[in-house]
Amino acid sequence: MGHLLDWPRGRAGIVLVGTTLLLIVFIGFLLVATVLSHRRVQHFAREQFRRDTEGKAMALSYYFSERKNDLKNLAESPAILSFFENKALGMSMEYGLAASLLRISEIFQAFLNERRMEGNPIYSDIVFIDTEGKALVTVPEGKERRAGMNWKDFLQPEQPDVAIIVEHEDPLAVMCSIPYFFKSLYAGQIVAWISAEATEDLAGADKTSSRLRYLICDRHGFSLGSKSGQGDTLKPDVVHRFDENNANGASTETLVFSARIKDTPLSLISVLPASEVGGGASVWHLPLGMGTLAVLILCGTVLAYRVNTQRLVLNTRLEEASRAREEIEAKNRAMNSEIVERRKAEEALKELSTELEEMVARRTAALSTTIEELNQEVKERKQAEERLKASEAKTRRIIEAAPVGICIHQQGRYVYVNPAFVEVFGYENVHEIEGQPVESLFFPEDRDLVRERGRVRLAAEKEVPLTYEIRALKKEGKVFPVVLGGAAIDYDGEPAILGFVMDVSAERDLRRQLLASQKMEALGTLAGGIAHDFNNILSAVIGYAELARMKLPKESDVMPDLDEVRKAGDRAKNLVKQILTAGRQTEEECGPMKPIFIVKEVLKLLRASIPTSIQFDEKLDKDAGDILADSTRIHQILMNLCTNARHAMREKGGILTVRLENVEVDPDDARAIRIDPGPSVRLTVGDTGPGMAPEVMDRIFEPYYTTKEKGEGTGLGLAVVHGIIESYGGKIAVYSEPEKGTTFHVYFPRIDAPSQEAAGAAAPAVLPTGAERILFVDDEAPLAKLGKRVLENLVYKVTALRSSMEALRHFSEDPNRSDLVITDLTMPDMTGDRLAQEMLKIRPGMPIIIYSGFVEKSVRQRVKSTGARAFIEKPLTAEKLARTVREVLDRGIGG
Amino acid sequence: MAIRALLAAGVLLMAAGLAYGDDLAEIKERGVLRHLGIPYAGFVTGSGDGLDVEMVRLFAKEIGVEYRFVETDWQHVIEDLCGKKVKPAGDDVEILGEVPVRGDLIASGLTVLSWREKAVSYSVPTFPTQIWLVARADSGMKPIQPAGDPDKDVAAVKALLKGHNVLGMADTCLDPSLYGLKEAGAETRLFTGNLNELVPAIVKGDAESVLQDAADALVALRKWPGEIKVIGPVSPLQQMAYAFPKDSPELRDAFNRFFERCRKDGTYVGLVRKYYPAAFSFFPEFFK
Repeated sequence: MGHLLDWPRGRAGIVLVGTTLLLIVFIGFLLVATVLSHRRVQHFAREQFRRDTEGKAMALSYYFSERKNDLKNLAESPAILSFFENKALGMSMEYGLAASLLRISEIFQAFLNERRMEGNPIYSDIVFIDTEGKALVTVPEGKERRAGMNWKDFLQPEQPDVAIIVEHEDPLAVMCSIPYFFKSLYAGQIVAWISAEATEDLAGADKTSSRLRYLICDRHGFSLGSKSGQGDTLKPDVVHRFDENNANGASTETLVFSARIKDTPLSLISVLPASEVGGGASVWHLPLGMGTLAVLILCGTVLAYRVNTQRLVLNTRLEEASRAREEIEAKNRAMNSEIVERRKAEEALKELSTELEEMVARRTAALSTTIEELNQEVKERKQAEERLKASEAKTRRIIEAAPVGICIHQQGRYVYVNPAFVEVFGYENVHEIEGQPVESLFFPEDRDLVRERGRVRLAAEKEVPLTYEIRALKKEGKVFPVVLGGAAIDYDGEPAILGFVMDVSAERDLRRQLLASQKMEALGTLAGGIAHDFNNILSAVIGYAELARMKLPKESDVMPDLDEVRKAGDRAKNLVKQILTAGRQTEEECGPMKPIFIVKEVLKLLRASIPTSIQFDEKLDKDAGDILADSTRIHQILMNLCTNARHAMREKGGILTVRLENVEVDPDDARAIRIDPGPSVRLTVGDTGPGMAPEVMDRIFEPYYTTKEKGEGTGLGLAVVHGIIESYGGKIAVYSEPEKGTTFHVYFPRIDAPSQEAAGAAAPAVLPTGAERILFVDDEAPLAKLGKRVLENLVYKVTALRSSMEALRHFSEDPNRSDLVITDLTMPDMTGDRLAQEMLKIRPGMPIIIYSGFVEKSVRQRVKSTGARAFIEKPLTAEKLARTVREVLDRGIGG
Repeated sequence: MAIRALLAAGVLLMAAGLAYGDDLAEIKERGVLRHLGIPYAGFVTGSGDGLDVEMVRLFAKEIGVEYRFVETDWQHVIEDLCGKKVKPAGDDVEILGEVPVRGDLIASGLTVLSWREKAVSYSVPTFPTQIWLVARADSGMKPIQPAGDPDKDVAAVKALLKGHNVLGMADTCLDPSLYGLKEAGAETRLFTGNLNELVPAIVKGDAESVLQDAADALVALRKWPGEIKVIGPVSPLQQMAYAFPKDSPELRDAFNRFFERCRKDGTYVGLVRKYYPAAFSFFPEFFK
C-alpha cells in the first residue's frame, strides 16, 4: 500500500500527474458513456416488452373474434330453427318436440367436439337458454358447477349481436354469448364457455425469457388463471414497476404492462422481472462505482482493467438485448403484415361481394326469362300430361274391357290383373289375385315352366316362344288349358312381365272334335270305299245260305250250320253298317217319332239282362216331344249307352239312371254344348261307376278306342252313337268324375210334327212270290247267279246277265221280253244308272230296280233321277229282294 | 258359424305351420338364417343396415349360421313366414291358401297385434312404440297438450278428427280400423305404397294426416322439419317384437336369451342410440 502512495516527483511526477489526469478524464468519459448506453438499452427493452404485449393482445382479439363467428354459425343451425318451427306449430315435448331438442343437443355436442386448438377443446360448455330463463339444452349434461345458476342473468335481448362476456367465477370464466331470434322475436340465448386452457395456451409465455408471464384479466382484475386484484390499478400503455416478494421472501423488482384485448372486456397483462431488462442495478450505481474506481485507479491498472472488463460485460448484454429487440420487431412486422393481408382480403371480399351482387342482378334477369320459359314448358308439359293421362285412361279402359286376360307381374307376384283375367281363373275380384305368387294359378307340374319362362323373358337370355300352352287352375281347383304369352316391360320404373292369358278349353274341345270328326271322315271314306266290295261278298254269303235253307227240310242237320253262316253274315253286315254310320256315310230315311216308346222297349229288354246289383232309376216324361229320327237308331243309341253303364258298374253295382224329358236349351247352355238353342228332347243315361279320367274322356268318341278288355267291345259303340246323334242335328255331352260316375246327355231337336208310333212288328215269315219275267244284271258271277236262284226260288222267271252292254242288247232286241229289270249300279263299260236310262229310252215306264253297296245320298239321288223305281242297299237278302220286287211290280206302270 | 270357421282356420294354420316351419336345429343344419324384412325407417334402412338388421346379424353369428336378408312387403310378410296366406278378421285371421315359406323370422319394426299373434309367435318386446297422428303443417288440426294420461291424450286426438282425412295402411299397425278413427268421424283412407312413402304423401298434399308409429314419426320430423307436425297419439303404448313361426319355439327361445344378454351388456342400447337416439327421451321406462 505504501508503495502505491509513493508518488513520483519531477518531470516524471508531472508526466504521471498528467497521465493520471488524462486517465481520470478518460475514465470519466467512459463512465458517462456507459451510463448513457445502459439507459438506452433499458429503454429499448421496455419498449419491446410493451410492443410484444400489445401484439399478443391483438392476437387474442382475433381469437375471440373467431369465437364470435363460431357462435354466429351455430345459431344458424337448421336444428335450432326446426325446434322453434315445431314449437310454433304447437307440438308438445311429449309428442315430438323433445326430439327437436335432442337434435340441438347433438349439434351442440358436435360443436364442442369439433372446435379444438392444438388438440385442446376451445369450449368447455354450451347452453341454450329460453326466454323464461330455463336451460333447454345443456352440453355436456349434468355439470355440477352449472347447477343452481341463474340463467336469466345471461339473457341479453337488448344486445342484438354476439358478444364476449365474463363471469366472475373462481377462476374467471369467459363466454361467448349470442341472442337467438325466431321470426324476428327474441327466442333465447346461446352461451358457450371458452376454455381457459386453450386461451392461455394461445397467450403462452415468451420463449426468449422463461420468466415472462401473461395474465388475461377483466377490468376488475380477475384473471383466467387465478384471482388478482392488480388489474384495476394498472393504467394502460404504461410500463409499471412493482416490487414483488419471491418464495424466499426476497424482494424483486418486476415490470408490468397491461394491453386491452379489442372488442372484449378483457386485458392482457405481461409481467417480467426488471433484471431481464437492462440488468438488475440502477443506472446510477455504476457511475458511483466507477467514480470510486477513478479515485482508486491510481492504485493500479489492474483496477482500471477491471472497470474495462465490466464495460465489456455491459456491451455484451446490450448486444443480446438488441438481438432480442430485432426478433420482437421481426415478429411484429410479420403480425403487421398479416393484418395488412387480412385487410386486403376484406377489401377483396368487398369487391367480390359487389361483383356477386351484380352477377345476382344479371342472373335474376336471366332467371326471370328462364322462369317464363319454364312456365311455358310447364304449361306444355301439363297439356302433354293431360294428353298422356287421357291416353292412359283410354289404354286402361281398353285393357279393362279386353276379352283376353292381361296381367302384370313383378318380382314373382301379380301387381295388376284385368277383369278378364279374373274371370278366366274363376275369381270374383282382382284383389283376390293381386299380390299372389305368379305360379300359384297354375298346375303344380307346370309351375317351373312358368317361372323359367318369366325369368328368361326378364333376363332376355334367349328367345322365348311368343305363346305356349299350359295347365291352369280355376279358383275352385279345376284344371283347364290356357295359352300364355308375355313380354318384358318396365312398370313403375322396375322390370316386370306383361302377360296374356287365354282360356283355350273351348278351342281344345273343338280341336278334339275336329280330330274325331276327321277320323270319322277318314273312316267313312275308307268304309265307303270297301263297303261295296264287302257287301257284294256278304250278299253272296248270306244269299246262298238263305237259298240253301229254302231248299233244305227244316229238320235237316245242316240247317243249324246254315243259320250260323247267316248270323255271321248278318253280324258282318251290321259291322259294315256301323262303320258307315260312325263315318256318317249312311243316309237314312228319318221320320217324326216319339222316342219314349223306344226307350221303354229298350229298358224292358235291359231289365232282363242287367244283374240285380244294378238298380234302375228311370224317369220318363210321357210328354217328351217328337224328334226326327229312325227308331232303330234311337234303339241303338240307348242300348249302347246303357250297355256301357252296365259295364261300368259290373263289379260294384250301382244305380243306372235314365231320363227322358223336354228341355229348353238357352243360349249359354247352347254355346257350352254347341247345339242350336231352342226346344230339345234330352235323353240322359248315367251310372255310379268309377268314372273316367280326363284323358279317357277326351277320346271316348274316337272309333276303335276302348277301355274294355279284348273281346268285350269293338270300340265302335260310342263312335256310332256320336255319328247317329250328329246326323240328327243333335249333340251328346258327357260329364264324368273319377269315383263318382259318368252321365251322358243326348239332345235331339224337338219337332212339332206328329209322329208315327214305333212299331216293332216283325216281318212276315212268308216271302212274296210272283210269275213275272225278270232281267237280272250283275257283273259279278256269284251275285248274278245268286240273284237268279233267289228270284227263281220265288217262282219268278229270271234271265241273269253279267254285262250291262249285253243286257242292253238283250233288252233292245225285245223290250217287252221282261217285266222288270234289276241291275247292279257299279259295272264296267256301262253303269247301272246309265243302263236304266238307255232302257227307259227304249221302253218308257219300264220297271227298274237298282241296287248298290254305295249308300250315299248322292248315289240314291242319281239313281232316282234315272227313273228307276227303287233302290236296294247291298248286301242283298232274299227278304229284301222279294219285298222290293213285289212292291215295284204291284205298283204297275206309272205307279 | 264365423267363430267356428275362424277356429278351424286357426287349427289349420297351426297344422300347416307344423308342416312347413324350420326350427333351430334345421336352421343350423341348413347353415342360413333367413331374415324377413321390409325397408322401414331405422329398423331396416334398405342400405344393408338398420337396428333390426344388425341385431339379426349378431343373432345369426350367435347360432353359428350365415345371415341372409329376404326382402318382402307388409302385405306378404306374415304369409312368407308361416306359409299360409292369411287375412285379418278382427282380432283373428282367415286362411286363404298356401304359399311358400321364405324366411325364418320377421324383424322389421313389427308391432305386436292381436290378429298377428294368431299366426306367429312373438319374441320378448324389442322396442316400444305408439301410433301417432302426424299432419301436414298447414292442417287445421292443432297438436294436443298432453294431459299426463295416454288414454286422455288419445281421446283428445280423436275429438279433433271429425271432418279430417287420415291415411293409413291396411293389415299393418297403421290400419285406421284398429283405432276406431272412422267411428270418431275421420275420413279414413288406405295407402297402397310402402310405409316410407306415407309421410311424403301428406307433404305432397295427397292427404291431410297420416298414422305413424312413434319411431318413424321421429325420423320423419327430422326429414321434413316445419312441414309436418305431430298432433298426438291414437293408440296406447304398444310393443314391437320379432316374429317366429308357431312351430319354431327353440329358435324363438334362443333369440329371447340372446336379446336379454344384449340388453344387459349394452349392445342393444348402443344400437338403439345409433338408430333411434330420441327413443330414450320418449320411452325412458323401456330403456331403463
